[in-house]
Amino acid sequence: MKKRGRLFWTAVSVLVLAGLVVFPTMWAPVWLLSLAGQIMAFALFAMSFDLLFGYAGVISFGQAAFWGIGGYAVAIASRAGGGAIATLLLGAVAGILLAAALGLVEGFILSRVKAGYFAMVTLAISQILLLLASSQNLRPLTGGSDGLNVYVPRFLLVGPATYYLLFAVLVLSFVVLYRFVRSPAGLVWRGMRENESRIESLGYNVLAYKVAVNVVAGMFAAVAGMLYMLVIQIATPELFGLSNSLDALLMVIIGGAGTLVGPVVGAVILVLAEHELSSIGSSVPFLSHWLILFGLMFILIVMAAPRGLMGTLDKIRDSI
Amino acid sequence: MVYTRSATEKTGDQANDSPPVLVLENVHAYVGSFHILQGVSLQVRDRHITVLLGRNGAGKTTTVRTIMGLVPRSTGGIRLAGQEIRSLPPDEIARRGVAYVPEDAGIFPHLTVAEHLMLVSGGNGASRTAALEEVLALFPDLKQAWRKRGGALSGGQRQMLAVARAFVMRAGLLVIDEPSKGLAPVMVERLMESLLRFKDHGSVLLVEQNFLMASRISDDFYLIDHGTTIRHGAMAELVADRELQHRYLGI
Amino acid sequence: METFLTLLFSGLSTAALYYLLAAGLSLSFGLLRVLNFAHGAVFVWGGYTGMFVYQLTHSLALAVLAGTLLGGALGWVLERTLLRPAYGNIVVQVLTTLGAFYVLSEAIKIPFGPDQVGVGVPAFLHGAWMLRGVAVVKVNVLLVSVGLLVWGLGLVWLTRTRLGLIVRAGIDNPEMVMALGIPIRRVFTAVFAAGAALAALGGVLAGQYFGALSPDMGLQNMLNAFIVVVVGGLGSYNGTAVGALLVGLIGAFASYYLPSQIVGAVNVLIMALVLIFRPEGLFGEKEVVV
Ligand SMILES: Nc1ncnc2c1ncn2[C@@H]1O[C@H](COP(=O)(O)OP(=O)(O)OP(=O)(O)O)[C@@H](O)[C@H]1O
Ligand SMILES: [Mg+2]
Repeated sequence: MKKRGRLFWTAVSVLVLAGLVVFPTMWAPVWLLSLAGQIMAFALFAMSFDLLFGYAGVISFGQAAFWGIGGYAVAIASRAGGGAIATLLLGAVAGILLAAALGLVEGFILSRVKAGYFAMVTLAISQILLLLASSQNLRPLTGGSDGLNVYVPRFLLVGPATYYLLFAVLVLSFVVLYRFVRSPAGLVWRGMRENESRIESLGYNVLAYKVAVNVVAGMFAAVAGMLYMLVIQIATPELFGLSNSLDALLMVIIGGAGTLVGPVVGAVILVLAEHELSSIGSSVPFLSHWLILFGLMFILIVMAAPRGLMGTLDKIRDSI
Repeated sequence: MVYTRSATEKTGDQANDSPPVLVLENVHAYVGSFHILQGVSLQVRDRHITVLLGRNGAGKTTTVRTIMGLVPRSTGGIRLAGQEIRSLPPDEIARRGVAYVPEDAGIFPHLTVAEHLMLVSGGNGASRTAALEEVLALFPDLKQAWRKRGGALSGGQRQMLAVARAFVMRAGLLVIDEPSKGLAPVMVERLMESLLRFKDHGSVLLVEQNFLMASRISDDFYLIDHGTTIRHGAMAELVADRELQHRYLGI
Repeated sequence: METFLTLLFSGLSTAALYYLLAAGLSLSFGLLRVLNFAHGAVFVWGGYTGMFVYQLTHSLALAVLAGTLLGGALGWVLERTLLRPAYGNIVVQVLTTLGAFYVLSEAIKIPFGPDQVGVGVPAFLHGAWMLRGVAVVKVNVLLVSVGLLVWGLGLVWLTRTRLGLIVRAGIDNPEMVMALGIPIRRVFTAVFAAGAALAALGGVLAGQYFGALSPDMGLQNMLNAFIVVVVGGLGSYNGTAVGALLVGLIGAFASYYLPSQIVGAVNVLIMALVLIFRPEGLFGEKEVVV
């Protein structure tokens, strides 16, 4: 029974992956590729957040800080090098290192404070980055509130090239993260979520594990922000905004926390929904306030089904 | 329905006929994913001292916390003066006439001794002063520490304050978790005396590791092991049964 | 010297504003152990309500009353619907109050629009008194007076009333308060509503202070209030007041020399340093935060 279920899911995954690889060769309008690109960037972003929230049980409301750092790193580097690949890669490396550094600092704070506190601290840090990015004084670097255009290397503009790059990075990141959460360290994180003092009494260095999870999640979020830039090609201060952190949270919760696949499902649902609602919103005035509906939905999901879609599906499957 | 202390002194065997004050029937309790109480049944007779005995980790504290409504998930029956109280919130249970002294005494570090007693003596002026006078006569040391904060009290003072606070509540049932822990012998004597005095008006459910003390003041005993009540009877029986003492209490 | 005094007064009035927000945040956290992420949205709702009522009635007193009452009502509803079912589950409470923040911040845009709007200020609050070359802005005097009044009344309430006694006991050990027969859940509702009312009062006064309001003011002010709470230390009533003074004054003096975004960064830096080196805050006690 269990084995057949596994086989079924493996078959489904292989089919979906194959479909995703093949379809752009047959039918690839620009809008679809762009939408798919946004979904993939957000999927990685949400996955990074799942590592933090779903596995380690850490609530952060500032994951957008890393997303924005990745975005601006690529944007600034692309402008400096006029889209040259070398500078772009250099920018990417710098962005990841910067994200790791911020993750390190936040990780230290995380080890000193309790749940709600950390959420507020991360929110404050991302908000300050937003203000700095939109600051007039830093305009030469960041473009102020207008933001920065991103110069994408020419070869990525050919057909579905960007799509395939994002797809490759997403699959690779998924494999890496999957191994990560199945590693002994992943077990310790889950243990911390359940009962921190117990993990500590077993002799694990909780501080180190907390710092580590924050650094790793931050680095992947930065990569996600970079991918996003390749798709939308403009970095604005809003990258750092609360709504992005909340999007990641919502994707993880809708899809199911602590599953890694769930956030991908959540990203598909949420990006499509936002896309549809914002286009309908322009013709139906009431729906232009769809963010309120999202917020209400978020509250209801948190209160009613904290395990999210994937968790709930698992539960239903277990009970059958 | 509030179970308050009786106005009359008990006479002879009359109290034995009155129904039990507190009844637990096959109580199970869960903390997180742990199934900690697995069938606790006991009765506390009116104006008697009932002691709950058991090894470390047997489930004594969990039992009294479940009675107080402080353990979120439990099943079974808990009746106070005939009324089911298991799913009531702790404050409602307390208002129905249960005073509680927790294992750590439950002293507020930032409140003075005076404020601790003020917090529970909500009644009108006269009865309030009477209750206060009464406990201060029992525990005169508290008068000395009147303006001290809870955090600055010694272990013995904290324990006394916790007992005094419970007495001021004038409840009919006193639930008290290891009060003798860390007390000097002379203080233990005083505590025993005050519990015996309490028996004149109400009932006591006592958790105690100090077998000597328990045996001197208790009327009934219940033995709990691995979250289950396994033996009960008159205290005198347990005192006589050295083998049972050895097996379950490690004495 | 004049610059110094002018900056001092301006710092004191921002401190008063921060204090109104921080006091509710800190008290709610101390008693309910809930960090209320909807606090900033209640602040904004209070501000807009005050503005609207002032427009209608031209009475500042009515504006203050309406804004504060609305804030209290919002707090009451939030506690009943979002917090009450989830005590003991911090994750759910943090997430739902943030959701409420988001919903309320968006909803205020429906009647009042997403952009900044001007706020009517009564004539008696226009301008400043000149004292030996130092401008004493009238609105600032109002803010500082209200801040002091709230601090003083709060102190009397906490130390001289029975409800205050229950609150102080509850901050130490809410479970024990319950076990003593006191219905602390009702006190939770009252305190949470009072904290929200203070935030909304802060919003009304902020409207007067800035002469303008925008829907996104909530987040920034809530974060500043949080920084005040962190610096002052949780569970310390006067710590919150001192924290507000420190952050307000540092902000005023720093903004004389630095652009405002950098001042914000300075605040966050102070918070990060305090959390890393003294997580219980300057006046807090270790056991409260840990
Ligand atoms: N929060 C908790 N999480 C996990 N296990 C718990 C928890 N609280 C109690 N237990 C377990 O429940 C069992 C009963 O604990 P309880 O405190 O009721 O025992 P006790 O008889 O009062 O012991 P003691 O004599 O040490 O006070 C113990 O094995 C303890 O480890
Ligand atoms: Mg115990």
